[in-house]
Amino acid sequence: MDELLGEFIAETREMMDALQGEIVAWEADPADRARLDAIFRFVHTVKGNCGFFDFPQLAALSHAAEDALADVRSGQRKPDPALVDAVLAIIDRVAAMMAMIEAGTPIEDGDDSALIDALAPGGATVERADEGNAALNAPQAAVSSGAAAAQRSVRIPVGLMDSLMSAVSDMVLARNETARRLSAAEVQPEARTSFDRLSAILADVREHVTRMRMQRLDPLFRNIPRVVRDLAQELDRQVLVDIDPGDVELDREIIEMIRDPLMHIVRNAVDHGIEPPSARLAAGKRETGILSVCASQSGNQVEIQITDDGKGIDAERLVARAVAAGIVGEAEGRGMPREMAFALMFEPGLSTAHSVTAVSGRGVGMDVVRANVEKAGGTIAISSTPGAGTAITLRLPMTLSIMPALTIRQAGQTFAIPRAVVEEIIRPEELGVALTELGQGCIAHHRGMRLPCVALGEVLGLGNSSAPRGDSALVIVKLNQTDHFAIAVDRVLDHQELVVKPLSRAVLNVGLYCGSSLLDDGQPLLMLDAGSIARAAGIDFTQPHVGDAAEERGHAHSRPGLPVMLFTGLDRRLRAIRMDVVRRVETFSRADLRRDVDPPQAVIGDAILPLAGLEGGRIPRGDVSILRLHDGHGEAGLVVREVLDIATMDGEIARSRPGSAIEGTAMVNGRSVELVNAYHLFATLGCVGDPAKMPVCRLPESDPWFANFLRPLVESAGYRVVGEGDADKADLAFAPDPGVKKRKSAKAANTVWLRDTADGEGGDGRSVYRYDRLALLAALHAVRKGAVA
Amino acid sequence: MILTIVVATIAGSEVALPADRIDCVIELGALTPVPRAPAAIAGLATLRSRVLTVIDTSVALGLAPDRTSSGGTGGKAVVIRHGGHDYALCVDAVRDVKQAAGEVEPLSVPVGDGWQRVARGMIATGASHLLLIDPDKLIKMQELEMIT
Repeated sequence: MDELLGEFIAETREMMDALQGEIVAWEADPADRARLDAIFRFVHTVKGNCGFFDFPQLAALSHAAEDALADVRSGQRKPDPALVDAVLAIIDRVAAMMAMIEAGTPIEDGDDSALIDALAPGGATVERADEGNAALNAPQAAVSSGAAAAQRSVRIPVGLMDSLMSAVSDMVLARNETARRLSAAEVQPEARTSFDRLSAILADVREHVTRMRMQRLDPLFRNIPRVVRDLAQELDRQVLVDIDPGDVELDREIIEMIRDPLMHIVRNAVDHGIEPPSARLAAGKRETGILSVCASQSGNQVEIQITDDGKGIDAERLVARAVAAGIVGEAEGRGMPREMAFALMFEPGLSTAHSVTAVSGRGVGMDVVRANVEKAGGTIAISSTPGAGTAITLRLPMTLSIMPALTIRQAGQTFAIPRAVVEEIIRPEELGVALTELGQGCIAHHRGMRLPCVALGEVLGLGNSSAPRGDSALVIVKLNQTDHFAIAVDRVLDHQELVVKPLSRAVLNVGLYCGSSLLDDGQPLLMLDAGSIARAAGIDFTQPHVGDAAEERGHAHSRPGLPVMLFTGLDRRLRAIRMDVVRRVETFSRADLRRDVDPPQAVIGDAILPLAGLEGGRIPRGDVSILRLHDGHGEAGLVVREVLDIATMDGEIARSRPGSAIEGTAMVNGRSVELVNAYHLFATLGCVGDPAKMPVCRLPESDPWFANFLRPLVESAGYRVVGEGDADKADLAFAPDPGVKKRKSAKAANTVWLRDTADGEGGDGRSVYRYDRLALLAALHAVRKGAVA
Repeated sequence: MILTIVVATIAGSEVALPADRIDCVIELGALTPVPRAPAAIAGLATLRSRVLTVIDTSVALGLAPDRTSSGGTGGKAVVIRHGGHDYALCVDAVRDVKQAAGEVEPLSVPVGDGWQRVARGMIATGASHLLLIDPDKLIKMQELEMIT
């Protein structure tokens, strides 16, 4: 609403500025028809606009002036100086009111009835406020005083803004080139300092300009209720529209690109989704259908979801039509999973082909919708439940001109792929992916999925290998919910924010590229269009490429995304910790930190927390942030430099060796993140709950192997360790195996004998090879369960 | 109207280009090849942070064997802005920039298929006549070629 109000003020002010001359001229010659019309238009517009806002005084004034002027225009009344004065007095008063509205102050109660009465033929003459045109200057005066209260806005031609943006993008590239030359040449340190300053300023400018191009989604969404209302009337539907543009901003160019697709989807939802009232009643639903369009933002992506509670998509009919149109074979059609069937909607030649209505069939099919969304660098996904409704989700990048991208190398040439479609990168050394060659083709088996694999070298005609080799990296691309495939490339280089430039038509026509950019060394690079590459490689996404449904479900079950909290440690490294173990984030004063004990402690409230995370960096001045962690028994604190975000780690975690302080590394939002091993953290702090309740393990203290190698494992499994001489009752003991015959009691409820050789069973199955970590852990676990229960 | 022309050598022949269409003459650096592009697209180059589409003029005119988007370094080129994009047309050499000695005249002799498609006519320069090339026609040809 604020934005609307701003527009109203700006428009009124513009008209008022233009009106100044007219008023003076009209005053001189009240019979001047052209002047009269201009003034009439002004009061008419003000009156009309007032309808949107709650300004009753303004509406009453402009309405009265409009009526009087309408009489004059229709010839029912002769303009006389008294009328001119009365109208001018009203315009002055409107100007004063606008100034108050703009400054955000409530409109002062003035006696407007006198002004209105003066309009009547023969009405009393009024004194014009402040005489002369002082009142017309009032807005300016009010602005200078109210500038702090209300930010003024100006209108700028879109073209100018676009050229500013491209100039700034060029500036970034020129900066990069200068940086490269500077690093090659020997320059004075001062020159480098000023260059750094320049770079910092440029980064600011870039951010401001990017923000300038951002537009809220409200104006885009505002048309929807009207479109739906008209359509519902035409089709005899009852639809309730629920619009939530959120607090989301999007590059205006992208907004333009999705305007038509969005309207098409909305029309589709009313036309094909929401049933007529009678059908809804018969289906046990309320007569009025609900269509909701809402937007939300996550990271640098914007999600727009269009949901209806209509009849849903008839997957079988879609498949039947696809089979009839020859898009899929009959056999594939029969067992096609629903998600895949929905994707058929985007096939050219299928969309609503035989049910074209005046409404949705306006020459745009869903294939065009998808093409437009993809052109904006976005993706589209459909989900639907028969009888319950359909949800269509558009995911869009926030800005067009600067795009996060993955750079890769193929046959010595660098290319980029938009980050938005990259699901995962599998490096050659990683396990868990198997390549199967099928004639000239290739399939990658990865986490229960069969992915068609495209050799980039082959699609581009670079390099000779027909199938991806085992040593190439795989980039898993997700075009939408169902269309995944792998691109084999020579090497994955880096994540970069690229200033994307449009391609000339001659290059665009090649059909494999969607943009170009410049590398830091000034060399142009081509941005690959993942969708086109799949098509060029002849991948048929209508063929099931998921291992099988059960396998897929099992996979989904076993590997949900891991919710983590992202933070930087004191050593400024980016880390993550499982969300489950974080109780809350607290700050405490440096003074409450005790470093003279081991482990260091912090006093928070009445709790004393052992602290981790102090190594590798200085403690910042002032307040220190800690993550308060719990393991169900005890608490510990992890000192952090800054808490960044909550994220989901859904990529592959590259595991470190068991027992390291870092559980592994994974990519989160394009950055490599270390996952803190919470288990290790608690284990090393030794804060595992109440020692009295812990199971006890007896280890021979005389043997250094037990003290150095076994003890950490035992302690990390939650045991309190006692020595041979201790009187405590032990739940478990480990002892070197002297051989079956020579074993003596190790003074414990259970004893595990450790032998030195890997083979054999030590005679009776009660001994374990001392480096058989799994068997040791199993024993610890079994006893602990028994001891605790 | 007397044109200002740029006299350049393309595929060994001296020709004229309208100077008002030419942004600048550059020495091409390393080109980024465009895999799978038609032979006449020599690659991409940069000019002051603009990306140029480089057209191998000889190949486009059918006067040189296909050199398939080879990358490599390109030599001299004239830069033309066409349809909002920057193109660089490779030339062997740029000889001169001067005022034409007369109006553009229609071609009086057949000049060969390749030249015919991009010629705007001929133009007098002192003693001789030169073929006047329309660079936009040449670029348009490239744009259309991809579609078919």
